[in-house]
Amino acid sequence: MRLWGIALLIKDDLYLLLDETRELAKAPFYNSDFKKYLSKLNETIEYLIGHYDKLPITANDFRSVVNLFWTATKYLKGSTSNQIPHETVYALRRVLEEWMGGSFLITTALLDEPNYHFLGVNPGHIIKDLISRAPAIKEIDIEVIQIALPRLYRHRPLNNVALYHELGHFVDSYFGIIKYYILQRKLAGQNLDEREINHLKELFADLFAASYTGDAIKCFLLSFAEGNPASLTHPATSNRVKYIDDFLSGKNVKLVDDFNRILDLRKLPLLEIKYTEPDIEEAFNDIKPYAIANNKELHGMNMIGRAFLKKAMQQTAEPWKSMPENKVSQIINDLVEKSVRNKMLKEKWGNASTTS
Amino acid sequence: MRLLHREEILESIGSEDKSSLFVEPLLEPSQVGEVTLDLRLGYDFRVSILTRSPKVELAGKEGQRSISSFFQETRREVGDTFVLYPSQAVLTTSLEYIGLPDHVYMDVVTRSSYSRLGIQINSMVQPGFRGCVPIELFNHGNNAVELVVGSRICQAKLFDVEQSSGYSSSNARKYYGNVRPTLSKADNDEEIRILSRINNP
Repeated sequence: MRLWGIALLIKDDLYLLLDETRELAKAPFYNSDFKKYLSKLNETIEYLIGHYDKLPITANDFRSVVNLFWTATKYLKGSTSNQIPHETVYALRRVLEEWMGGSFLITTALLDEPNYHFLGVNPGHIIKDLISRAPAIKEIDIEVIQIALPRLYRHRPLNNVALYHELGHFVDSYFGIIKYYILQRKLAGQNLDEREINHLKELFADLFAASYTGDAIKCFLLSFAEGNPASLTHPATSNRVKYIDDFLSGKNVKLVDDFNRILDLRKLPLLEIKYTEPDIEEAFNDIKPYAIANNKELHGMNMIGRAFLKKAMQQTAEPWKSMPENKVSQIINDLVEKSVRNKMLKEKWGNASTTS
Repeated sequence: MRLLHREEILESIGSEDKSSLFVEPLLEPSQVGEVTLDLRLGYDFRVSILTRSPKVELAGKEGQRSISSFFQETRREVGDTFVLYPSQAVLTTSLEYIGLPDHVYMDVVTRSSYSRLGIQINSMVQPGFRGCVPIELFNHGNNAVELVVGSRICQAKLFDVEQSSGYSSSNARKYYGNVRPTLSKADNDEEIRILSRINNP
């Protein structure tokens, strides 16, 4: 019998989470995959409540499970928000499909702080590990990816290039890239300390982002962390920028080769240039969106859009010269957003029109 | 002033000339009728809501409540539905981004399938305009109407005014290059300031 006080709190949390997921299931904006996921979450929570005293796990483990469900519902709630920047999510989804195939759901939340997240949450893995003797639980086999970005940037796609970096962390964590690297170094007799490991994770995420967004990620780094020295968690910004510059200029970078050897062994895509530079000048200078031709151009919009914005903000030529400064940034970000949205629309319309 | 017909509209849309008509995305060529261009319901909305304040103030008085507080922002995906309630005013835009030549102006009205349900749209777009067409939706009927995002809700007539306007190079344009509904800027009109000084010199 569990200690009465702890049991009451955990069980009450489960009831509250059950109510939350039932309410979420009534939201009209979910697609069928989300509804399936919610239904499985509900079943699992109901099972846990019904078998609470009989399951062979500790209260701490139970608390971990509850926290996991809490995290899962937090971002599901965000996805009912009717302000999600679908255009940003669309571009990231293309990257995820390249690395993971199509077996995932994306939920998005808008934060009231300058922060970005990109997490994978699959309670099913945890439940299965913790409750191996509970065959009645149907495994939740859908990978749920949770993206979070600042609410202030929901219509500023050029500011959200950091999500590519966060996606790099997710890919590393999901496939164990750095873990594999550490193991290889260990087998070679080299033990890495916590600082080195953290730095490697950041460099992988930087290079991952650069492979899709070019020097847009470098510009972002310099905006937020210029001059930052090395710390326990991050390399010096100057070091990070050098890696990005060397990678983008095609120089031989040993670390990139090391990562790519691991990626190749795991039969994953490599770190290489995955964007092209769309010629947006004529369209944008005429205040018109650009017709994005393919995914490479889609990712390239980050770099080219940012470069175009930088030039336009100098306000030396029309139509930008006579505009208020904040309007320049708004219009260019809007044109990027609309360019992406038009690509999405044509794709969806085309697919729906050909489906019988 | 001359109403543009189908061949002229199609030719202009298909032209690579910078000064031609720009409609993107044109999901179906059939949107171009004999003398009209059908436009689709966009995915961003600003819904008018009731607040504690009894009125929207435009007189420019100190402490005046912002117009934005009377509207709630919401988005849908194409194919989703949006319910327009009786007597509700909602701001949205066309799905299509339009670029009008400097000598073409556009009148936008409800397609008859929707006006028969009590939906009213009445808008005009200046020569040289750039942006998604602003649409002010109003439901005059007694019943709520469930609209589908992406459906052809309005139609535009295009007129060649046979003289280039300076709209696109004018600093006075307020709603230029917008891709989502923009709230009224009536309270920022210079005239409002002039009028307010009449009684308060």
